[in-house]
Formats: sequence, structure tokens, C-alpha cells
Amino acid sequence: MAGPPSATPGTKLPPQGRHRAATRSPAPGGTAAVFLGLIFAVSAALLAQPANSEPANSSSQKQGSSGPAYAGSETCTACHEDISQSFVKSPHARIAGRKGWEERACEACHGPAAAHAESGAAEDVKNPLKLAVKDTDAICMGCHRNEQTAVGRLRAGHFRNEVACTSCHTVHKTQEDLVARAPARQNKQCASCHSQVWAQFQRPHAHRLREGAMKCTDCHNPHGGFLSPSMRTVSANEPNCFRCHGDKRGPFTFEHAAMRMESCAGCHEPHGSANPRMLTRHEVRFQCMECHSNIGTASGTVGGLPPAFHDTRNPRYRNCTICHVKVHGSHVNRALLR
Amino acid sequence: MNILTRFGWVLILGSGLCLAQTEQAKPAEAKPEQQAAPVEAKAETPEAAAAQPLVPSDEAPVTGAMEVGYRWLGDVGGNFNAYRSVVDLGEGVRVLNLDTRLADPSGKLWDRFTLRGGGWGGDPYNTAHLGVERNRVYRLNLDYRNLVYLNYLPSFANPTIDRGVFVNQRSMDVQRRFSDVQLDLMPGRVLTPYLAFTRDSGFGRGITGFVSDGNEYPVANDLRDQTNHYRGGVRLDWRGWNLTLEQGGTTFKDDQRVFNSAPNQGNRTQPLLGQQLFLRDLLQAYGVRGDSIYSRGLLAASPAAWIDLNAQFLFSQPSSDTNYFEAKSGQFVLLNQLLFYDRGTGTLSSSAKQPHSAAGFNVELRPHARIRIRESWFTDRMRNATRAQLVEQLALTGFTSALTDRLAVNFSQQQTELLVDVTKRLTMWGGHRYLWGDSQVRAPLVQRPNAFESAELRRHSGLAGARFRPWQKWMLNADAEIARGDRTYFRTGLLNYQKVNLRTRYDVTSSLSVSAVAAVMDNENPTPGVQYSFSSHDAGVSVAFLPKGGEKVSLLVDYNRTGIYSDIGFIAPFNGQQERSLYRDNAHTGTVLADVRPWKAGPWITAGGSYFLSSGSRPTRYYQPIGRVALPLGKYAFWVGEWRWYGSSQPFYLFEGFRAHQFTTGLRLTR
Repeated sequence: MAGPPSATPGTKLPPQGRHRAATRSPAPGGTAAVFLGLIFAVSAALLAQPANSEPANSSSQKQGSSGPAYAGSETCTACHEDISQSFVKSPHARIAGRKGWEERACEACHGPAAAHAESGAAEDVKNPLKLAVKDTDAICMGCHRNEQTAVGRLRAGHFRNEVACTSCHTVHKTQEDLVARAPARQNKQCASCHSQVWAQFQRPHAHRLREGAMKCTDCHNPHGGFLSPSMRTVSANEPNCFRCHGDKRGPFTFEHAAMRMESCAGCHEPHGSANPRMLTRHEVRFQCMECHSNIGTASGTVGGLPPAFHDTRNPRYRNCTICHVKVHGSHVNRALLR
Repeated sequence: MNILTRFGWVLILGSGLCLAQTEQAKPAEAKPEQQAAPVEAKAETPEAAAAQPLVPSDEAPVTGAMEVGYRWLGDVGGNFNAYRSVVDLGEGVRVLNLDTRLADPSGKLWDRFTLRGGGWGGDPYNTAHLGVERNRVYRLNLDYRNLVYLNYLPSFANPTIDRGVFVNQRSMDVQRRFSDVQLDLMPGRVLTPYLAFTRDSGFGRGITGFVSDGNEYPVANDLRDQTNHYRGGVRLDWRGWNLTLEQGGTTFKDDQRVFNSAPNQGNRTQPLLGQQLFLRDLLQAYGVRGDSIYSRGLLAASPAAWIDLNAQFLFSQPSSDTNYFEAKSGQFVLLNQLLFYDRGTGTLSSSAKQPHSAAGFNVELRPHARIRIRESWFTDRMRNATRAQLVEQLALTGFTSALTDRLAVNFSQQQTELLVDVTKRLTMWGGHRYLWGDSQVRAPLVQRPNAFESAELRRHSGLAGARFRPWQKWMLNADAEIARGDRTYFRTGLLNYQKVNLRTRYDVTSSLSVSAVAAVMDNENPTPGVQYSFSSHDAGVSVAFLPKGGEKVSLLVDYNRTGIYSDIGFIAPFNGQQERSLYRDNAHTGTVLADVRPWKAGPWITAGGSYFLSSGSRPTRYYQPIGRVALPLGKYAFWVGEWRWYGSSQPFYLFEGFRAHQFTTGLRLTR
């Protein structure tokens, strides 16, 4: 997709021109319009309908309603004994303790099943594994919306790519199957789809997931977050890297701007690298010089001028961090030397 | 209002709301006829729900597995420091793995009691987790992690390599300890107050550089830092509206010291203007103290069947105060004044404050059964304003400098997507994303002191994707993004890029499934002087063969092929000539794991491992084969024997290669 005329790659506008281009850009105005529209939509929804937070199948469950009939869990057990035995060990067995769902726990998710019990036909009952993703999720969210982790759901990569809750959560089994919390188990589960990420962890310099000391959800929230790609945060809005690397958090008297603007992944490959310290380049000087080069100043980027005029042919100056030891930010020195 | 006061208010508010909720629960019990109310009001009382133990009564009181053993480490060939930096597993008695669940005989204290851990007994990675939960009453989670971070890798750019000294001048041997506890209370269905505490600390030794004009010296470094996080909040769930309010705070301290007490020639071997520079005594003491408050407000709701929305507001304001002292003696030079001196002291006091706020709003509208519209907006604004006063005394000359610094970053994003369920089996979507922002940062010193430079960010992206599931056994997911921008913060930042991701999975039979992934991404910045070109591709295939659920045989195979190509121009600082930074990485990674149990009640034999082979800028070979036998010794016990081998070599950096065998034997107890 092409950008607007002012966004032609390589176009260098004078500062005033840039400013004009920015103010003329249609998107912020569009945002405001969309925002207002949304506020109206939400208000209309609130006024038009009473609040509804019932489970997905609860509308037909109300006493006296004339919806499809329920079969009862006992009827389900008669044919699905193995599932039933496993289900009693599942946290979802709690559903049977909710009023209106006694003896009907199965149908809380699968819907009224009397017709299915009579016909035995798969089409006569809901199978969340075979439903459209949005319908499967609607069943789960009927009860699970109030999970703190689900607040970023609408921004989550899993949600945007139509990955259903049941892709990761095995509903009928034990707590450990429902939510893989043990590091080895969880990492294996994530790797079953994200095999290319797991391959990166097989590189020599990587976070300690192979050893079982860490798990994917230590850094990522699979239900979504406000940082991409579903990164967790610490202290409200800071990248989760600082949860363990608190010494890099600052605020520093003299910041290294890349830390705040590009995040740690600007220089490090957190999933694993062949380069020491998980750097994205094989030599530190290239890591630094790619940004700190004066030919970039015309492009309007920051950090463009070289930090010094060292002779990088000499090994003394090939590893910039031998001298610029506080490369993540310094409390003391403007050139990050101490 | 300080942290403790805010924290106290959250506690008081939480307690008050808890009590109010308890009071509200009583009428609900007393008036069952009010059951036309929404499901939250109709729900069981906490007592009724709590009375339902989740663990079946016939389950053993302790279930799970524990593995205890002894590990031998064979002679490590090659560079031992590289082995320690990459693997670092030593020998001795170890609790290799623990994963247990305890049942509550009374059925009243907990429904779930999980204890997990591993690496105890001297391994560099010790972990422990305790999770206890009582349905609708409380949930308690404790985590502990102790990781050794050792980095003694020799450096390519080692200034002392010609003198036979291979130790990197930036090395560290530190431990990072992390502990976290969170308690959620569930006095009713509406309200869930919670409290949490997290401590992250690091301590250890290392080598770092001390830089003085004309020379730099590798010196000892004593690292010690600690961050405490305190937070508390309350989650409200009322008629489909879910609100989380959280207030927290942090305290931070960093007491790093750098020292030297013997003559140190540094990296300059030649005299400067006839004078040999050296360092004799050095003490640098950092005293950094920081704190922060932060607040979070999260909202999720489905006010009607056709709308989902969520919003969040996040605010933090970390600040730090530093008191730094430095004393040195030896022979030094101040190049801009050509002043040689033999001792100096410096003190610095500084402060930094960094207010940071972020807010976002997302909504999904479903105007039609087959149509969904998603809109999201997000903004993040951060400022860092700092000031410092430096007083230096170099021999008889004194200097005082007042310094300031500033960093400001604003970033916003707006995105709209339309999803259409074309058929029951095909969903397609498309949309548009716009990113914009501006920043102001400190300019390099060569411009002028206290100068600032600024940059903008502006980029439009087109989004598209599809999910196709023609039948139950086959799923295909694809998404693509094409972006065009005219402003970016950094030379290597995303500007004009396109990326495509493909995923597919096919269940050939009930026991055999094949999945594949492919991803391509290209980024270009054609601006004259930058001419940045980056591309990466990634393709992988996985096969899982588990006949009869893996009862006797299981086979997992993964193969992945990755390529990275990066090319950007830069100017060599010493002669002003244009050079190019090229980076290539062509990697093959494979993992195979086969489990065989030839006969029932016989031994489990596991064989496999992983390899990583790459060529390009840093060719690497890294092998990790594994063989394992688990021999049953009874109903609940296995003898376990394991062999692992680690082999790493990098042709351009031969001195970093290592090879090591590990043998482990032990008992695995299961129930």
C-alpha cells in the first residue's frame, strides 16, 4: 500500500514543510472522527440494551424459557465417560456449582444437548473445537472476560490472527493441562506453533528457556498487551525486560535514547543469537556505527553524528563498549563512559 | 502523595469494598426470588462454591514427579570460560526437577496446591514456584528464580590479544535473583482485591573499563543493585463491565564500585608525548537511589452482544538521585589542555525524573453476523529531565560543571481493521495502521554542549490476512503488512517494509500431524546517505508422530531455515570514508526427539537433540545431542541415566569453541 504524497520515501522536506505535512495528514482527524463515532456507538449500546454478561448459553437457560432442551451431565456421561472422568479434575468442573448449571456443566459450553442425546448426531450439539473462532471465544469470554490478562485481547496477535482460546487451553483436563504453567511444558506448547522462535533458542546465546529456568510467558502475555508483540509490562508501562534487568531501568541522568525509543530489541535478539550478549551484529562497532554515522543526519534521524573520531582499525577502538561501558545509560557521564 | 500513602489508600479502599461486597452478598442469599438478575447476582455464594473441592476424593494426597540425581561433567575441551558463559552446568548432587500437587484431605484449605522447582543443589539456574488456590476464596502465587549470569567470552576486539591476554575487558560473574508473590482475594464475585511484591536483585564481580584521556584500563567491578516493586489493586466485575485499578511503587538502589590497587598499564603501550600513562589506585563509588509510583486503570466490557471494548491508562513516574565519587592516582593527561597530572578526584550529584503515560482504547463492533470492525488507538508519552553538578579536582586544577539533559518521546498509533467471514471456513481481513510520533534527544558532543536534536516518526501500513480451515484437519493462516513511511527515528528503524507470515497445520492421521511456518520481511530506507536494506526469511516444518497418544513411540522433528541480510552505509570516523556494514546469517536449526518404550513396563529410551549451523558474518556450529534411559524400578520409581554433549565452534573465533560431556544418573519418582 502506498503512503500519502507527503510520505514518498526519500523525500526530504524543509522543517516547515515537514510540519505542514504532519498537520495535513488525514489520519489524526480520522482518528478523532472514529473516536467520536465509537463513543456514540458505545453510548447507544448502553442505552439501548441492559447490561449483558451472561455466559454464552445462558439466554436459553433461563427458567421458563422455551429454548432447546437440556440433557443433563448424567446423560452426557453415558456416552462420553472418558471425557466426563477427566472433566471432574478440571477447574471447569466448578461450573456445576453455579446456580442454574447444576447437573448441566457440560452444556454450559456445549449448549442444550437434548437433541444430540436423542439423535447422536454431532451437528445437534456445539463443539467449540469446530466452531468459528469468534464463536468459540464468545463461549469462553462469557465467563473469562474479567481476567486481568485479557484486557489487551483486542490488540493481541493471537486474537488478530483468529487463534481460538481452545488452541492453547485444553478445557476438559486438569489444571496443568488447562493452563500450561510448568516452564518445560509451556515452552513446548508455544513452540508447537512458534517453531521458528524455538529454533532461535537453540543458538548459543539465549535466554535460559532450554534449561527450564524461564518460560515464554515471563516476557509475553499471550492474551495481549499494549506493547508489541504482546510484551508484558512492569511498573505499569515499562517493558518487561526491566522486571529482571532492574539495573538497566533508570531513569538515567544521561540516557541512551535507543533504549527508550527502540527498546532493548534495537540491539539485542532476546530469543537467541550466535553473537555474544545476544547482539544483533557480530561486532560491537557495527552495532554502534550503523546508527552513529554522520551521513545519516540529512535523513532527519537522531544519533547520526559519530561519537568520536577513533581509528577503528586499531583493536583498541573496535569494541566501543570497552570504553562506553554504560551503554544502557549513565548516571554520571554524558558520553556514557562511567 | 508518597508511595506509602497511595498504597495505604488502595488497601483501605480495597478493604472497604471487600466489606461492602460481603454485606451485599447477604441479601442475595436471603432473596432467591431475585434470580431474574444477571448471572453474577444469581451465582452461588462463595461458601457454596468453596465447598466444592476440585480434587476428586480418591486422588492420592501427593501427585506429580521428582527427579534427583548426580551430574558428572567430563573434561571441558576448548575454552572453559566460553562453556561457562553459554552452558555453565556443573557437577554434583542436584534436584533436577520437581513438579508436585498436594491434595487437601479436609477439602477446605485449598483446591490446588502446586509446588514446582528445578536446578537446586548448585546449578546456575534455580527456580521454585508455589501456587495455592481455594476456589472463590483466594489465590496465592510465589515465584523464585536465581540465575547466574556469567560472561567471560573473549572479545574479538581485544586490545590485549597481542600480549596473549584473552580476558574480555567487559566481563561479569553475577547472580540475578528474582522473587515474586501475589495474593488475590475473592470475597465475592464482584470484587477481587490483590496485593503483590516483587524483588529483583543482582550482585557479583566483573571487569569493566576505566577511561581516562589517552588510555583505558581494565579494572575490577563490584556490582550490587536491588529493585522492589509493591503493588495492590482491585478488580471489579459488574454486569459485563470489568475494571482493574492498581497502584504501585518501586524503590531502587545501585551501589556499584569500581576499583584498582596495583599499577595498571592499560591498553596504550606507547608513551604519549614522552609520558607513560598508567593507573595505580582507583575507586569509583556509585550511590544511586530511585523510586517510582505508578497507576494502572484497565477496562474491559461487552455492553451489548455486538460490541467488545477495552481501554487502559498507565502512568509511572520513576526518578533517581545519584551521588558519585571518584579518586584516582597514577599518570594521566587532560588532552584538551595538554596537562599531565598524577592524581584527581571527582564528585557528582545528579537527579532524573521521567514521567511516562500511556493510554489505549480498542473496540470490536459486530454490525452483522459475518462482519467485524476493529478499531484501536494508542499513545505513549515519555519525558526525562535531568540535571547534574560535577566537581573535579585534577592535581591543582579544579573544575565545576553544571549539566542538564532531556529526552522526550511521543508515539501514537491508530488502526482500523475489517474482518469478514466469507464462508463458515474462511475469514478474511484487511485494514490500515498509522503511526506517528516525535522525539527530542541529546545531540552528540561534537555539535556543542547541551545541544539537542529531534526526529519524527510517520508511517502508514496496509494490513491483510486470512484464516482458512477447509476441513477440520487442515488450517491455514496468513497475514501480510505493507508499510510506507517518510520519517523514522533511527537510520536502522522500520520505514518502507513488507512482511508476510504463513502458518499451516495438517493432521494427516490422528497420530501424525505436520505443521509449517514461513515468514518474510524486507525493510528499506532509500534516503541518500542511509541506503539501508534489510531482509529476513524464515521457514520451518514440524512433524509430530504419536501413535496411540505416544504410548510406545513418539517422534518430534523440527527443522528451521533462517536467513538475515543487512546492508547499510556508514562513515568511518577516522578518515571520513564511506564504508558499508554488512551482516549475513544463514542458519539451519533442527531438533529431533524420539521416545521409545519397546514393551509395556519396559524402559523408556529417549534420543535426539538439536543442532544449529550457520554461515555468514559469524559462522557457528552448536550441537546439543541427548540420550536418556528411564528404567522402571517399581510402580512409582524410575532409574534415569542421561548423557548430553555440548559442542560449539565458530571458525572466525576459534578461541571461543568448547566441547563438554555431561552424565547424569538419578531417580525419578512419580505418582
